[in-house]
Formats: sequence, structure tokens, C-alpha cells
Amino acid sequence: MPGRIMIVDDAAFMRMMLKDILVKNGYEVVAEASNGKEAVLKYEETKPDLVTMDITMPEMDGISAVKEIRKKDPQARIIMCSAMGQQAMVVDAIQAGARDFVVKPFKPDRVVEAIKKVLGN
Amino acid sequence: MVEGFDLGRYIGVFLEEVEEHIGNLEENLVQLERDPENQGLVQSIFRSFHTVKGSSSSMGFQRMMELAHLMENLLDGVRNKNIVVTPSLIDVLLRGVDLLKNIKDAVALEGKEPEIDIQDIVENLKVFLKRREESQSPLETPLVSERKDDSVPGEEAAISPSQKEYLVRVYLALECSMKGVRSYLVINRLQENKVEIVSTTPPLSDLESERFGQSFEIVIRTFLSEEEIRKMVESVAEVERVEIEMREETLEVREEEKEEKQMISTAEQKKTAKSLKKTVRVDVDRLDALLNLVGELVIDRARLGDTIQRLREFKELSHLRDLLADTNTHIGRIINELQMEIMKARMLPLAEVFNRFPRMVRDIARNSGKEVDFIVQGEETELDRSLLEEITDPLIHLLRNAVDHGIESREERISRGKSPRGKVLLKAYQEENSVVIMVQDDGRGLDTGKIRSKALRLGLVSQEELDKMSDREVMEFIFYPGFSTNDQVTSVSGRGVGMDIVRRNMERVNGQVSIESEEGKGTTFYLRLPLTLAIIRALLVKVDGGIYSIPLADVVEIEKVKKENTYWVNKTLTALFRGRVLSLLRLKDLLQSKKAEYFEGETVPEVLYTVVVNAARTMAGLVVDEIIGEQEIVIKSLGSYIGDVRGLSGATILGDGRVSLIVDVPSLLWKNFQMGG
Repeated sequence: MPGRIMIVDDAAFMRMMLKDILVKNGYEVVAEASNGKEAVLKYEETKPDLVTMDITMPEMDGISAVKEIRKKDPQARIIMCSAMGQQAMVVDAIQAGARDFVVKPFKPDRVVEAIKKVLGN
Repeated sequence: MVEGFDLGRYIGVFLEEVEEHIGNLEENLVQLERDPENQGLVQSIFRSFHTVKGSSSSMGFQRMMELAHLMENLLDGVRNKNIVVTPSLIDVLLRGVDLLKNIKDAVALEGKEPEIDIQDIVENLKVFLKRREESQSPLETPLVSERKDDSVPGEEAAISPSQKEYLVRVYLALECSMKGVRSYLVINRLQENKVEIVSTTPPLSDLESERFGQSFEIVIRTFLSEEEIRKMVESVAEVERVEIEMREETLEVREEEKEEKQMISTAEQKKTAKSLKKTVRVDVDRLDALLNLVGELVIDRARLGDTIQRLREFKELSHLRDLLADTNTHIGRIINELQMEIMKARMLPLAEVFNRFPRMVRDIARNSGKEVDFIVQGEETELDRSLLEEITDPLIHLLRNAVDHGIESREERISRGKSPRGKVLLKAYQEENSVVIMVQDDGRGLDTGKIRSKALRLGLVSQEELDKMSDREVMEFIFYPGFSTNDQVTSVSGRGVGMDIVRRNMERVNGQVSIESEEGKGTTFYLRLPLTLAIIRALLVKVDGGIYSIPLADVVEIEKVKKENTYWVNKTLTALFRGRVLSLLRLKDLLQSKKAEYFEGETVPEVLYTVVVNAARTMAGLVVDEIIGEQEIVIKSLGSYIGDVRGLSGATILGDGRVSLIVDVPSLLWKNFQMGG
């Protein structure tokens, strides 16, 4: 299944790693953003099939970004990238409309599983 | 970045849960045998097997899963009245549970499932399942499929598009992190699609705080089909497997009924949430250390009290002294509370030990072909955890003896006009500062005649002494090492087996054992245990310039015996104490392992300060130089370099800093007795 994905994370390293995983599994990374604001802008520009969204970021955090994006596109599919111990924030994000989440440190097959399931919906 | 599969993270919870279920299973199966119609029991047993099956398969323990699965099926048969509860069924199930336990223990030790052969028991279990199949009409569901079936719901839905109730069991991937949020996401996904959540197991609060294993259950109500539900739940990442069962009652429930149900389930949820107390696991060593520190406080307070006493000399400081005395009293109260709280933290309910007994008693009874009703009471009574360990073996001895030797055979009971079923009662209760555990049977009782002749033959007493002894005193002989282990005293029921060990175990923890027995009616053993081991109340006495502490548990009374009220009996000095003849023993000589009696011709002081003690089946008067008073003392061990000193059980530090040795009354009296006293 083709998938155009946007990666949102303030750490370049994380973006790189995620990109590797995604590309290796046949997905196309159409955009990268390093904070929430940028993410909202680039979402409108590129209209990706799916977004991986970090939670803690400068300018605008991941949860607010989810809200903004879903406001503009209620069908937006977003997977949260959470660190251990961010349970409450993940719950907030789900309430805001995120479809699923993965927990750092990433296990490649988990990331792919989550993406597949969300896109398969 | 890929982490290896970390079994260690789950194995602890897994083992703990399985152990709990095994405990419940043993208890419930034994109860089921007596009460085969009890559907609640059947359900609970079924659930236990079910959970064990689920979690062992998640952990990849094949044998465990297979066993649990088979037994779950058996119970399903019982639930549907296809299988009848018989003692032999219970036997096989209990053996299966034993096997589960063996596997679990091995997993705990080695971290992997052992190479145990389960084929034997599996075959046995299958025999029962076969019977069930045969008894079923061919139209009914084969037992292998656990769920009712897959086709019916769709068909029914076609007929009437009513809401159905499903039980959805969600299995999360093993290395799933944030299980709580994961379960939330699943429930959220269902709700988004207008699926009504009726209840969850465990309750929501537990799901949120991740108090569950790899799976959880949701009861839902919906118009959607099973397949649609399955897809919905499986669309969540890290959901490994989904099992869906349609609930018995297809629901065309009227609104108010529905509401009522919901109310009940939420009320239940609230209740469970409330009863789940917040707990923290603490290392026992840490509690020991705390108790030790409190012990130090007790000593310091005693010193403070002593200092305050000495301030009496300074009249001009009297109001300061009063202030100090007030504060000291207050500190004392707080120390007491502190001590109580720490003691409570160390306490565990006796159920920890008692729970395994119904199973044991049942097995013994079945092996000896007797019918026994075993009743357990007061298992919620709490006891210091170190004491709990000490009483386990004695209780096993006592219960085994009660069933094996105390309770008569069915025929014998009928011929004696008793009910054919014997009764064994295990009961615990708190009495002041001690806990009493009672083991009572309504069997044949002790034959004191036989005990007398045996005691005589073993040379434990002279005929003359024996004649003076009451039946009660005679019974004490069964606590002598090796007293009635041989078969000549079978009618005394071989109770001597290990009886000396029972007593020794009890005395080691400052406890006591006593018996009451009536021939033909039954026997009762009482184990009396202190609530704590570390701090005791003691009577301080002066002997030869030193201060000794006598545990109050051993003290009956304190008497000032005048010389003219003493008598020479058998050439030794005695006094009358509440109608009983009491030998008077010099504590000073007892402590030095010398002959402690006053022999005829010795000079006897005008007044004898006597502490009447009762321990080691002997009552005696200990003569001391002076009686100082009663005090709470902290037991300090004598230390390994001094070792086990017979006659002393430890030492304590007094208020003025002096050391007082703690007298071990039972062993002192016992020693004196052995010396031919």
C-alpha cells in the first residue's frame, strides 16, 4: 500500500531514524517538520496520508498540532511518538484525535505495524 | 534499537498471579466437592483456569497452557451440566492443579518451562471430557470449540437486528509498553464507533494504572457484527489477538433494565476500586531495622525515666522535672503507637498458612478412607510474619494427627453413636497480647490410661509420682521426645509423632502449647503465640546482685512466702499455691545449673520472694532476692560469640544502662527436671 508520510520531531536524529525505517518499508516521506507550527503548515502543503507526531516540541507541542491539523482535516491520520512516562499526554492526544501511538525507543516492526493498521483503516 | 524480548519484566507478575489462582483453585475445588451445585464456585474455578490458560500462553508456556485449557473445558462441562462433580473428578483436577504448581515452581526457579511429562494427567482429564461428549447429543457443540460458534450470531442478526452482548478479550503484544494507554485506545476506538461498553475486567481504574497482565476483557453491547468488532479492535497497534464470545443473553432489554444493569456494574466497579488499598512493597529487613530502632527508643525512654527519678533530689527543679515527666509520658505513648504500627506492618493474615490446609486435610481423609468436615475460622487473624513460618509445621503435624489418629473410622463412629462424619476445627483468635490457634477434633480423644503406663515403662516418672498426677498433667507426657512413636500406643493415636517438635517450635517463639482431651469425645490443642518477638513485658528481679528479666508470659503470680507456710515434701521445700503443692527453687542455683531445691536441714530464710511460673509443663516457685517490678524490655540476642546459652534467651538494656539477662524459664525448668528434680 502506498503511503505518503510526514515526520514531525524536533530531534533531527529521530527524524532520520524514522525516515530510515519508513523508507526501508516502502513508504514515501513527503515532509519533515521540527515543531508543531511547521507541521500544521506543511500538512496543508503536502496533504500526507499519515503523520508521525512527537509530543514534546518547541513553538507548538504535538498535542496542539494534532488539534490544529484535525480542525482543518478531520480525516487526518496521526500517530503519536511518545517517550516512556508520557501516558497522560498520549491520552490527551488520543482525545484530540490521534489514531495510535508508538513508544520510544522505537522498535521498527512496531512502528510499521502501527502505520499499517492506521492506514488500513 | 530493537530490544530483546524481556521475559523478566512479566514473569514476576505472571508467577504471582498464577500462584494466587492455584491457591484459589485448591480451595474452591475442595469446596466444590462438598457443594457441587454451587454455580458461583464453578464460575470462579472456570475463570481461574481460563486466566491461567491465557497468561501462560502469552508467556509461551505450552504445557501449562494445555493443562489449564483442558481443565477449563472440563469446568465448562460442569457449568453446562454435562459433567457431574464426583470425588474422582475433583481428584483429577487437583492433580492437574498440582502439576500446574510444579510447572510454576520450576518456571520460578529456572525461568523456563520444565521438561515435565504431562501426558498422564492429560489422558486422565480427557477421559472425563470424553464421557461428556458421549453424554451429549450429536447436535450439540463439540467440546473443542470453546466459543459457542461463529455462524449463529450472523443468522440471528438477520432475523432480528437487536443489540447483542459480547465478551471481547484483548491480548496485547508481549513487549507492549504503556498498556494502560493501549487499553484506553481500544476502548476509545469502540466508543467512537458507538459501541456501548458495559464493563471491563479488570475495572477501568486498574486498566488505567496498568494493573493487569497481557490481556483484558470488555463486555460490550452493539448492533455490529462480531467481525466488525474484531476489525475495529485489531486496528489498534500492539493488539496481538482478539477473542470474541457472544454472551448468553442476547439482549432485547428494555431501557430501564439496561440502566439498572449498568448501575450495578458501575457500583461494583466503584466497590472494587475502593477495596483496592494502595500498597507499597517493603523489604522485611527494612521493617526489622525499624523495629530495632524503636527498640532503641524504648531503651532511651527508660533511661530518661530513670534520670527524671533522680531529679527528685533537686527540689528547686521540681517544675522542670514535671515538664520533663509529662514529655516523657507523651514520648512513651508515641513510641507505643510507633511500635504497634510497625508490628502491624509485619503482620500477615493467618489465611496465608491456613489456605493450604483444606486441600491437605481432604487428601489425608481420603487416603485414610475417613469422612471429615474441615472447618476453618478466624483466618483473618494476623500474626507476625516470622511467626507464621514457625507455626506451619506444627499445624501440619496437629492436623495430620487429628485426621489420621484422632478421627475414628466411619464404622467405629457409628458404633459409638457419633455422626459418621468426623469434624476438625481450625480456629484462630486474638486474646489480649497473644494469638491463639486451636486445632480441635471430635475423635476418640487421648487414652490417659495408656499414657500413664507408657510413661511408667519409659521411666519418666515413678509410680508414686504418677498416682499424684491428674489426667491433665499426664497428657503432657505426649510432648516428651519420642514418647508415643511406637505402635503399641496406637489407641493413644500415635500423637507422639513430632509432638516434642511442636512444643519446641512453640517455645522457640515464646509460645505455648496445651491440650484438652476427653476420651471418646475428642482432643483440642491450643497454640498460644505472642504478637511480636522483639519486645516483651518482663518482671525484673534481683538475684545475687544481678538483675534478671523473667518474661511475663511465664509468670503466674508473685508471692511473698513466709517460712512458716512452707512444708517439707519428699525432703524438699514446698509451698501451697491455690491448693497446689509447689516446689520452691532458687533461681540463683538454677542459673548456675546447681541443685536448686532447698533440702531438709538447710537454712531457709524467713521470707521467700517467690515468682510462680508455669512453663514446660511444670509449675514452680522461683525464689529470688528481690522483686523490682514490671517493665517492657527489648530482647537483644546474646550474639553469636556467646552462642546459645541454656537458661537465658537474651539480654536487654535497662533504663540506667545496666544489662539484664532474660531468663528462659522453660529451658531452666526442663534442665532441672532432667537433673532428677
